[in-house]
Order: sequence, then structure tokens, then C-alpha cells
Amino acid sequence: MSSLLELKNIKEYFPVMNARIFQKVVGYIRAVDDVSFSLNEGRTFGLVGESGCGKSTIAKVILQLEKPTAGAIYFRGKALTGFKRGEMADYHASVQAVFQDPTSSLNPRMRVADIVAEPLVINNSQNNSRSDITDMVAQTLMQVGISPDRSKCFPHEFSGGQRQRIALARALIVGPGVIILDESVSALDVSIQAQIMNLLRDLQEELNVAYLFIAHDLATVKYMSHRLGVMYLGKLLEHGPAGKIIEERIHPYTKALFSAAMPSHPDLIKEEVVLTGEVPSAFDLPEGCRFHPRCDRAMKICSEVEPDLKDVAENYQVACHLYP
Amino acid sequence: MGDNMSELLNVKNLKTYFFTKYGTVKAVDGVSFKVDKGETFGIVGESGCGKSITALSIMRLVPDPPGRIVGGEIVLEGEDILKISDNEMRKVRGKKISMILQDPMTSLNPVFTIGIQLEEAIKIHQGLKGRSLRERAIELLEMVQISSAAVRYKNWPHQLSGGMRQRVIGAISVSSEPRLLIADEPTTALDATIQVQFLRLLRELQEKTGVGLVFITHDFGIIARMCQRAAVMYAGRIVETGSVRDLFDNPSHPYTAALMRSLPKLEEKVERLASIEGQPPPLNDDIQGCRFAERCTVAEHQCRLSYPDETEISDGHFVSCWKF
Amino acid sequence: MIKSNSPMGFIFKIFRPGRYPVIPITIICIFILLAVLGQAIAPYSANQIDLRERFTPPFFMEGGSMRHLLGTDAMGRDILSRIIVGTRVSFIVAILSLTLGGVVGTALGIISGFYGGTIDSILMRTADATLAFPIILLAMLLAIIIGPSLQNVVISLGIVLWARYARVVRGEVLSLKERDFVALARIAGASGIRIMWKHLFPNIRSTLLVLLTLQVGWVIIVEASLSFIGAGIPGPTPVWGSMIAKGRDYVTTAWWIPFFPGMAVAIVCLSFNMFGDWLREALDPRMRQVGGGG
Repeated sequence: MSSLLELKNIKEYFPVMNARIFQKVVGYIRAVDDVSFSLNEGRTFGLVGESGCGKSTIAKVILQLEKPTAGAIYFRGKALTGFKRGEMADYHASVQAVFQDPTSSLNPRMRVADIVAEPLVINNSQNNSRSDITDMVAQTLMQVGISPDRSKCFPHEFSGGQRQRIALARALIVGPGVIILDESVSALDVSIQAQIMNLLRDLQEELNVAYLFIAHDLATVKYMSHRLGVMYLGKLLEHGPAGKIIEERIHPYTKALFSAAMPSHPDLIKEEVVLTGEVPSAFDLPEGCRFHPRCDRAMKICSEVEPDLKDVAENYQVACHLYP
Repeated sequence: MGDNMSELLNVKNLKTYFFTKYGTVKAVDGVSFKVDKGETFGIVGESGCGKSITALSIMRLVPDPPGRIVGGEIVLEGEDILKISDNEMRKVRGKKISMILQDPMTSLNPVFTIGIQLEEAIKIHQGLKGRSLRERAIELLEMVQISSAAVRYKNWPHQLSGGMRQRVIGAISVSSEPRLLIADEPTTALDATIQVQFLRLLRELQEKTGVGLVFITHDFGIIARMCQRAAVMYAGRIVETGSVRDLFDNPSHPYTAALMRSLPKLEEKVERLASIEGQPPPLNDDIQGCRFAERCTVAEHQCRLSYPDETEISDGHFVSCWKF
Repeated sequence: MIKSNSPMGFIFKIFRPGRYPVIPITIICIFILLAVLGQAIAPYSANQIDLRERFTPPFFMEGGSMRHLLGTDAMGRDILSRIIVGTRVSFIVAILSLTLGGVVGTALGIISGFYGGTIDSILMRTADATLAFPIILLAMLLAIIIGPSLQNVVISLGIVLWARYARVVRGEVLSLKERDFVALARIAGASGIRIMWKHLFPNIRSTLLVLLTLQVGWVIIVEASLSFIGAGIPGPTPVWGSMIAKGRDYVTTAWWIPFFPGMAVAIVCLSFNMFGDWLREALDPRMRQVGGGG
């Protein structure tokens, strides 16, 4: 399996200014702190964690909306920093995104056909003619289950689920290798969510596209992902095959997070691990392991040394002093 | 009539319509359910099904215009609160019924400390003054597990995290020792681990005070976790009511059954989710028959002609479907 | 509440959002027609002096006649004709200054909001400085330097207007650029210019239209004031402002000389403001989302 997109030691720090007239940097919010993982062709990498854990910042870094403070992104084995203009345009065409709120994602003053065609119009490397583009728009809309007859409509004429399909069509039209799905199904109702997730899985099979599936709902991540990363305060704490993580839940935070998930049947209610305390701020991280103040198994070393990700099985890593 | 003693709330054939220039929107159209003392009753449904309007109707806080309760009875402890005057209703609100809303960020007034807001609520209903008022406020903060309550008492809302704010709102809601507490998606804006904390807190408050809880949510997991009985709403109507076990083990309305099949599950492997094609009908359409008929896989001619009556298929398990 | 069958209720109903504001639109159309046709439909030449007819009162007063419906001024010129011909000047000033200020202000406002940082600081401080400077003083300075003229009025108004537009547009852009479709355009590789032109500008068009309409009235009043103090368009061109200024001396003896041009200013200004208010509500996209069901 070839790695399509690889993140190596990505750090994203945001400077914090003091509130005086002559502003000075007084510290950094460590939104993403040394994160590495890779996306493989035709596979889904799921990223879970609570709000503020840095999962959406990672999406922004991959999408080049933010420049990483440190670290490198490799696309098809080549570092992004060394990309020439043409290669960069190619990267933009290959890495697309679908966000959470379909209302905000679609320009209300543009017709659906223009919205979907835009990435193609901007990166028109094959010099497609107008009618070619119209055909491709119709084809892509059909692929996501929207009738091409409605391509002259405006976004507000569609329901939430349909708008998310249109957003997906826009991402698909350039034939991307990677689609970043940042909470793409979170705002949808259960029945619509299932429709979109099934559509995404079918498209993956058909087009061999890789997904980065970011969500806070564990059940949807489980349904979509092949591999999984659990993030807490900017760091990957556990990282491995999705099925294995869900079964084993090695890291104490992963355990707590999964036990906090709502049961799918009243018989499956288990005594949950209730975390005490609040999530520390990413501006003022605790010494040592960033989870130790809330961890029920914290030891002395946890407040002194930050644990690294270490292999616990093949392709399975955990950052915890309890595990070698 | 024998079990009237344990009955807290009885909603009979409630109808709340919105009169807009695009026609009459029948947001709640004939909803009936009962809640016993100390019971947790869930109302579950997708967005726009009328569950929140049902809650607002019970509080008599439907925005008028354009909304109006056009029919039905809401009997709270033997008294129909739709018949009493606005002044009397103001006394019922807060004293007998209280409500927790979804967004902890906007539910507290940012220009007063949480102590003042809590005291305000106690003052209105209990007439305490001076030191005893303050002691009661701190006692309530301790009850909702806010550590160092005497210090936190002086905090402003922005100094608290989302989870803490929601707990303060919980404290305000129970300060008047209401008989009925309506929680409208109280944990939707919270992270999973914080959600678990808050749900546990609600349960403890309920055990201590014996308050009846109406829990409104879109999440079947929360229903499984929190409720004894629940109702499933679709397009302004309750389609199925029963004990939570009935709903999960024997979902009988085609809509409930389909929703259950479209839920991704963490505990078991689901090869492919079933999805419900199409979307809910607009509520300003005049639909004679079953509102789910258009999306139902087993719908027959009869389903489109008239709305089915509620049938009791087993003890306390009601379904509105022509199949029965 | 106002009852719908009372006369006030009727007016209230006409101007309710969603219905067309019939009266303001009619008035605006009439004045536009007057501006286009001008001298062609005026009963007399605007500058035709007839000293025998001076101080003729309007037709409904004693001594008035149907020959001069709104009376004549101190030189016997027909007031109605001068108002009709003066409409064109007012509208030309409004169109030119709003175009100048609107185009420059919108462009700089979008750039300022979109790029932020140093460009934003410089542009916005310049706008603040411009707005802090009294427009009358500015026009007088220009009048001293290049002499009172139409260009002078347009330039003075344009300078103030660009700053107003830039501020409003920048505010809109700041909230728009946080929307996901702007991020998605960047992801698709769109250039800054494309984002500003294709994504930001179409979304502020309706705000601009409302702003333009609401400012027509303001521009006409300022133009009249400038002409009133002599920093505006020089005579003998009939201009509402200078007609009021010249008539000021006769306000006790021949009140109609300043009154009718003043009324013209007031009516046009009010109509544009009412139309603009209606437009603001009618174009509000939130109003159109209602009734989507769900």
C-alpha cells in the first residue's frame, strides 16, 4: 500500500500577544504538537478527539490554509516545501475538502453548476472546453445523487443533506487523491448521515480516493475508518488500525473517551470512566504527559517526562508510560 | 384513573402551529404523552420534527407571533396549564417547571456573576434574603459539583468552561425545586467526556429531588442511557411511544425501525448502514395520510389516505401505523 | 398597534417590507423623468428673465396665475422651470459622486478586509481621517483652489463617500471571509483576485445597493448645502441649493422662492431613504430562507 500523503512531525503554534499597546508575544498556543501520520490510497484515516484537540488545525495545515510552524508534508513521496508552481497547482487539485456546515460551504450567490465547476475552472490544465465542463459537472452531480436538471438552482433551494452532496461533488470533480472530511456528517440528521456515509464509502471503492475523516462521534468514525488516531491537546496519543483500537483502547484517555460514548442499546450501558477536572488550556500545558492531571492511572513519571509514541503491536502505537 | 397519583404531566393532543406568510406550519400536530413523577421521559427525533416546539409549548414560550398553541391540553399535576392566565403561568414557570437549553454559552447573562444569577433565581421563588440566600446559592453550586463553590460563586460566566456553565444552569433550573425539568438537547454542545459528567449529574439531581425529567434529544444513545420511556417524533407527530427497552428491542413503527438500522454502532460491526431515502416533508403541506408514507418501504394505499390511530401493541407500547 | 383600516394603517401597509413602496418609487420615477427631459418639458426657459413678472406668487394665492404655477423669483424667472431643470444637476452630482465614491470605496474596502494586516491599518486610518474632516471645509478649500464648479462638488463628495463605503464593505468582508466557501475557494487554488471578485463582491452587492440608495438623499442635501454657501455649482445654472440661498432674503415677503426648491430636496431625499429602507429588508437573504419547511 503506497502512502499518498504523509505528515512528519507537524507542529502548529499560534502566538499569543499581550493586551498592551505595543504587543509582545507572551507565549504560544500549541494547537498541534508534533503529529505524524500518513494517508494511504483508497483508505480512510479517522481522527477523533474533543473540541480544541487540534484535529481541525491539522486539516487546515494539509489544505495549506495554515503554514505549519515546523515539520513537513510529503505528497507522493515529495516534500511540499520543494514544490514548484505547477506541482503546487496539482497538489491543490489533488487534495480537496468537505466541511461541517454545508450552508457556509456553498457561496449563496453562485449557481450549483458554477460552485461545482469552480475547482475545474481554476485548475484547467487539460484546457477543457465549456461544454466539457458542463458534462463533467452533470456527471459528478449524478455521482453524488443530485439531478443535473437542478444545476441552475441556488444552494438555498436544497436541503441540508443535498447541500452536503453538492459540496462533495465540488470536491470530487477534479478527481482528487485525498478528501479531507472535517466533521462532514456531524451536522446531519441520523437518516441523512447514513445516506452520506454510504455514498462516501461507495465513492471510495469506485475512485480509490483516500479520506481523512475527522469527527467527534466515535460510532461514525468507526463505520468509516481503516486506521484511527486519537488526539488530545494537539498530540496523537494512540494510533493504529481502527478495529484494534476500538477493541483494545490502550491509552487511559482512549478508554475514557470510548466509555463516554453513548450506548446503542440500554443493555450495553457500562459504568463509564468519568474524567475529573477540565481540559487544560493549550496555552498552558502541564509538564510531562498532557493527560496526567485527569488520568486515573497517573504515576510520578507522568508529571515529569512526556511519553513518546511507541509500538505496542505492528503499526500500532501508544504514547503512555504504562506501555512499552 | 387509579394511577393518577403518580402522574405528573399529561399532554393530550397538543397542536402548535406557526402562521407564516408561506402558509400554516404544523410544527406540532396532535402530540400526546404522559410523564410520571420522578420519571425520565425521552423525546427523540430528527431536526425539525417538532420536539423543541413541544418543549416550548409545555413552557408556554412559543414565540407568538407567528406561533400559537391551537389545541390540546397540557395537564400538570391535575391542572391544565393552557387554561390559566399569563400571570399564573409565570408562577408555574420556574416554580413547577424549569428548562435547560442547548447552548451553555448564551444561557447565562455575561454581565452578571454566576452567584448573582443564581441568587436572582432563588429570590424569585423562595424569598430568601442576605446570608441565607448566599448560603443556599453556594449549596446549590456544590450540589452540581462545582469545586470551591465559594470562590466560583464570584466568577463571571466567561471564566467557566462550557461544562461548568451548563452545570450552573442546571443549578439555576433546580433552585426552585421544580416538579418537572425539561432538558432540550442539554449536552449537544458539550464534548463526550463532559457530556457524561453532566448526564450523571442530572441523574443524581433527579434522585435527590424526585423531579420528573423530559429529555429532548436527537441521539438514541442518550435515550438508551438516560430514559425509562421515550417517544419518537416525526414531522410534528409522535409515531411510537414505549419503554426504552420496547423501542430498542422491538422498534415497531417503520420509521423507528429504519432509524435504528441507520445508526452506526460502536459495539458491533455493521457491514452497511441502512439509510432512509428522501427527506421529511415540509410541514406546511397539507398531508392527509401518514407523514412517513413517502419514505416508507412498506407503505400501502391506505397509508396515504388517512392518518393511523395509535394502537397499543403491548403493555404501554403505542404505535401509530396502519400495519397494526 | 395601528389598525389596517385607518389612514395611518394604510400608509403603514404600503411601506411594509415585502410590498412595494409605491409612493416613493413613483416619486423617484417622476424626478428621474424630469432629470432626463429637463428643459424639454419645462414651461419656460430656466434662465429667462422677465422683470415685469417678478415676485408672482404661486397659482393658488391671490395675484398668482396659471402661467407660473409655482410663482417666479426676484428676476421673474419661473420657479417650476428652474426646479425641473435643476433636477438634472442634482442627479448628475448624485450619480457621479456615488459612482466615484462607491467604486473606489468598495474596491479599497474589499482589499482592506480581505488582506488585513498593514494594508488594512493604513487604509482604515486614512478613511478615519477623511471622515473626521468636515466636508464643507473640504469643499470650500477645493473651491478656493480650483474655483467653484460641478467637478469640485463631485470630488468633495467622492472623498467623503469612499471612506463611508470602505468601512461598511470592510466590515462585511471580515465576516464573509470566515465562511467556509472562501476557504474552499483557496483550497481549489483560487487567487486573491478571484476570491474577491467571484466570492466576496457578489455577496456584498445587495448591501451596496441599499447603501447607494440611502445615500442619494444625503448627497442631494449636501450638494444643496454646498451650493447654498457658494462652494457648489456657480450660477446661472439652476441648482436647488442656490435657489434656496438666493430666496433666503425674501422668505418673509415671497416665501415661495426658497420653499419649493426646499420641498424638492426634502421629497427626493425622503423617497430615496424610504426606498432604501424597503430595499434593505427585501434583499435580506434571511427573509428568503423563511418558509423552507423543516
